[in-house]
Amino acid sequence: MLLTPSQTKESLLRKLRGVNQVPDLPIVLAPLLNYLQQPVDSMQVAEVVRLISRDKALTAQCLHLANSPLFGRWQPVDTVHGAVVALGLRRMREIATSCCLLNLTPRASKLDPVVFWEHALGCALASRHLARAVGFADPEKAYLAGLLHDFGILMHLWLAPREFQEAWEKARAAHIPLQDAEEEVLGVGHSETGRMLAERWRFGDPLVAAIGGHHDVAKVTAHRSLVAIVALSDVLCRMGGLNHGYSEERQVDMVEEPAFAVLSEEFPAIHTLDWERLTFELDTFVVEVHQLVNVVSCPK
Amino acid sequence: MSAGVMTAAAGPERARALDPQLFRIRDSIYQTTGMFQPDHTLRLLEERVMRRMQAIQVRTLREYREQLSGSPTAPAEVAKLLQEIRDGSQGFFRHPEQLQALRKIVLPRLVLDPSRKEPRTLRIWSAGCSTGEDAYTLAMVLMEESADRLKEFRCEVLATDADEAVLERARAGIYDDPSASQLTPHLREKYFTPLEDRWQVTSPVKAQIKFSQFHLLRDSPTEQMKGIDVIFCKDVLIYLDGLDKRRILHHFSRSLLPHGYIFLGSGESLHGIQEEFHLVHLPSTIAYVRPNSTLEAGN
Ligand SMILES: C[S@@+](CC[C@H](N)C(=O)[O-])C[C@H]1O[C@@H](n2cnc3c(N)ncnc32)[C@H](O)[C@@H]1O
Ligand SMILES: [Fe+2]
Ligand SMILES: [Fe+2]
Repeated sequence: MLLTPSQTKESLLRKLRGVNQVPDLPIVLAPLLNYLQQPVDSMQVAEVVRLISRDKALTAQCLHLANSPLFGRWQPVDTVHGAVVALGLRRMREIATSCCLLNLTPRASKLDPVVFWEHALGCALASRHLARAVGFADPEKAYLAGLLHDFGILMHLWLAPREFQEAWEKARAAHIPLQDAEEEVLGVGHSETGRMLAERWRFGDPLVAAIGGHHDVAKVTAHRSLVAIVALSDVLCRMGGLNHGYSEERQVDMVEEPAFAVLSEEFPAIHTLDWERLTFELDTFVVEVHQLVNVVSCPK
Repeated sequence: MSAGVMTAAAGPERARALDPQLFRIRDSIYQTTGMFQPDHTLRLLEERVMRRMQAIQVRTLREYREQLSGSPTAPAEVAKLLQEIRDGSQGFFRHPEQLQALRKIVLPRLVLDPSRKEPRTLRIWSAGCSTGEDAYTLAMVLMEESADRLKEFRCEVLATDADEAVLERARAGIYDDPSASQLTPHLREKYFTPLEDRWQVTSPVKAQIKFSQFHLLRDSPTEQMKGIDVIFCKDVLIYLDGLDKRRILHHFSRSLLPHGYIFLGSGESLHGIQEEFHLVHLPSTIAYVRPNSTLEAGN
């Protein structure tokens, strides 16, 4: 039978602490993900190309993303090298990390895990967009933080698939945020599990802050603007077509979100942000992301 | 869709890049009308612009863009283009996300509103109702809800337009097959009766609606237009300039109850037009309310 929330939490945390039970990074992804963590300036084009090209499926996925207008490319590219040259290393890092994340998503039977990747990608794109719009200095970092913010969901899918599915079904039936349902059913939300794993995998402070803090921005002490950008983008996606596979029945006034206040301390431009336009532009992301998922995620 | 065959990379539409002028035309339309067309709709926009270009004998997109702003004929051309864009967009149960948000979130909040004068009356206004499809849709939605959330409420739909000719058609309530739109056959059977080869709205639905002629800029609001819970004003403001938009919103402000909602057409934005109403996000749609009007509706 299912465990109680506190039992589940205990066993989840035990698994997280235990070296062996944390899913191993697939053999191709580990070196690549590690390599992508460093500053772009010290990356070598040849090395990125080599690491991606070692895996045929990964190569194909990266090319699909590189050819999507979401990544700014309107003329076809057909080699990884060509893509890096055309799009630059920063974009290629976004693309490669996005594909790695897709390949880390377990293929559960009843739950379609692809919706979580769609949400991640949507939040990444929205974060980059919002970062640019308010004048945040590093939109690529916002992209990566948006992409990985729900990393804990991935861990739940791996480590407690049955209980997580129960949480998800509960959230869907009650139209409430997944984080809340997880806390009820698993005893712990994905922001907490995500933070633990991000620390262990040495994701770096900004990403750890975004993963751990996006559901409680008011409490965040470091990298607050980055976390706030991710949190607002997350809400936009959850209220729109890039949610977790169900819609939350709520009314949201962005200006009253705690993350809005945090972001406005450093970026007053947010007061005149055209939320309508950003929201309508997200519709394009929805269409493009669904199309991408169609071609990119069919089982190899 | 057969995944993998027509890939994002190799699809023929991808091969031909969008003309950057289209993005500018999109932005110019957004600036003058408040209607935004996201990137994935720009191919469609291109077709419509091409039709207009042929009609007025303009050769390049750049020249056409110049026709849309600055010149004395610009407002007329914008209106013509809007007509192309909006062509055939009438119908029943359009924008299901709006209707869903109305049922799931807006109505449950509104029924708790302590400020309403007549405690058990709910009033919705379709402003610029044209031939009435939206107004009838709203009446049907309210009737569907009357068994449940709106059990003890009396509901009224007020539908107004400046144009007496379209109102005449709205009052008649006779349409070519309405289920050609998003109306389900079930609701068609329930709320329409066949009339030769067309369909007429049943009298109980009609009884919910008051049609009247009303010019949003010239006429002064009547008693009927006070104490409104929700205003639907779709594809009307886009034809007006900023000043007129503001004037109409000012009227709306006096008509709406403190916690009232405004819904606009899809892609319509009030950004930069006024300060009084706030954007709120509802599931897959947006609406406008006064700030701090958040009613707690038990969620
Ligand atoms: C494009 S139709 C939209 C009809 C309907 N709301 C819909 O979404 O399908 C615009 C309508 O607004 C009406 N209209 C335009 N300006 C108006 C004004 N100032 N006062 C009242 N009605 C107006 C027109 O007569 C026309 O029927
Ligand atoms: Fe989250
Ligand atoms: Fe999220």
